[in-house]
Amino acid sequence: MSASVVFIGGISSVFFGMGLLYLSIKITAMITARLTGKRKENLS
Amino acid sequence: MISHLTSLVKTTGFVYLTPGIIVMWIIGLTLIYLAIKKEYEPLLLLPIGFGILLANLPLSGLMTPGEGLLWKFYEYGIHWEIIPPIIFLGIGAFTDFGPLLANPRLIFLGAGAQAGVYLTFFTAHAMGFDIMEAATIGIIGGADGPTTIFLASKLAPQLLGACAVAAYSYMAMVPIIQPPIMRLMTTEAERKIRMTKGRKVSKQEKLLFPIVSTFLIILLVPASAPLISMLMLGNLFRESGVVERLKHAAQNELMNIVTIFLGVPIGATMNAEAFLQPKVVFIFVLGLCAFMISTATGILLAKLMNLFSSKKINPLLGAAGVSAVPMAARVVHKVGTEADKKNYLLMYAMGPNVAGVIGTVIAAGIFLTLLTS
Repeated sequence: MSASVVFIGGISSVFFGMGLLYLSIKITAMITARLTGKRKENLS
Repeated sequence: MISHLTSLVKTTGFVYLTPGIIVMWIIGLTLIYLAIKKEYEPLLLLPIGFGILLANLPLSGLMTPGEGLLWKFYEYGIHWEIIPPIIFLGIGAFTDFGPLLANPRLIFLGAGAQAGVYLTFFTAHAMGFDIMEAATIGIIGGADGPTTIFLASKLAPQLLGACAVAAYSYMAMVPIIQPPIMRLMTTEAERKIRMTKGRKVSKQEKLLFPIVSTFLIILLVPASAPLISMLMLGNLFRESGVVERLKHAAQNELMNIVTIFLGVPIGATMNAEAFLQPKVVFIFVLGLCAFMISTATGILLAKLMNLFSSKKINPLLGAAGVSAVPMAARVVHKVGTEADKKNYLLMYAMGPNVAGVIGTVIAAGIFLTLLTS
C-alpha cells in the first residue's frame, strides 16, 4: 500500500472515528437524560 | 599454566568489550541519571536504562532467543501483546472521561493532534524508511508510550527500543517542548479566552461511555481491540463503583508489576549493534518533529473550530490533544494562567487529553489495518 493512501486514509479514518464517538456521546446523553427525566416523573 | 589462564580470561566478558558497548553503557547510565536526578519519567526510564546495561554485558545471555531471561520477558510480555494492553487497563482505571463527556466537541482536538503522526509518517517514508518503520516513527507524535511499544512490536521490532525511549523522553519533556509552540501559535487574546462551563454529566453516561465506545471503535478499527478493550474495561471498573478492589489492583499492583516487565526488556532490545546506527538519530529527530507537529495541528484545529462556532475554544486546549496524560493538560493550564491568572483550563484540557489517548490508539489501529492486511 502506498504511503499517500495510508496518509489520507489514516487522517480521515481518525476523524471519522472521533466523529462517531462524538455522535455516540451526544446520543447517550440524550437517552440518559430522557430516562432520568421519566424516572423523576414516575417518582413524583 | 598460561594457556589455562588465557582460557579462563576468555570465559569472562571483559575480552569482548567494544567501543560500541561502552557507548551503550553511557546511554544506559544517562537514562538512569535522568530518571533519578531529573525525575524524567523515572518509572520507565530507570528500568529501560538498566535493561540497556544488562543487554550490553557480553556473554550474559539475557537476550539469547529461547533461553535468556529478558528475552522471555520480551517475547511473552511485549511480542505476545500482553503488557501494553495491561498498562492500558490501568490507564483506563485512572481516567475520568467526565471532562470529555461534558464538552464532547473537544474530542476533535484529540483527532487534530494525530495529524502530526501521519505527517511524520509521510516524511519518514520520503526520507527512506520503509513503510512499517515510518508508521512506527510517526506514532511517537501521539506521545503515548504503550501504544508506541504496541505498534513497534508489530510493525518494526528492530526500532522498538529507540522509539520507546524517544516517546517516553518526549513525554517527560512536554513542559519544555510544548510551551514555545503554544505561545508562537496563539495571540495573548486567544490565550485569555475563557471556556464556557460544560454540562453536568450523569453517572449513567459515564457508565455507558466505555461500553458504547468499545463497540464503536472496535467495529470501526478492529486492530485497535487489544488496547481499546482494556482501556475501557479499566474505565468500567472505575465508573461502576462496585469493583473497588479490581480498580485498585488495575491502578496500582498490576500497573506497577507490568511496568517493571515492560521497561527492562525494552532496554534490553537496545544492544550496540542494533542501536548505534545513523537511523536512530533520525528516529529521535523525526519523533521530536512528530510531537511538535501534533501540538501545532491541535492548536490549529481549535482555531479552525472557532471560525465556525459562537462558543469559542481556547486554542491552547488543542495542544492537550497529544496523549501525554495529564502532563499536556497541566502545561495548557500553566500557559493559560500566564496570560490570565484566573483562567482555569485544567479540567477543560483533560477532555482533549483523554481524547488524544483514544485518537492515538485509533491511529495505531489504522496503521496496523492498512499495513498488515
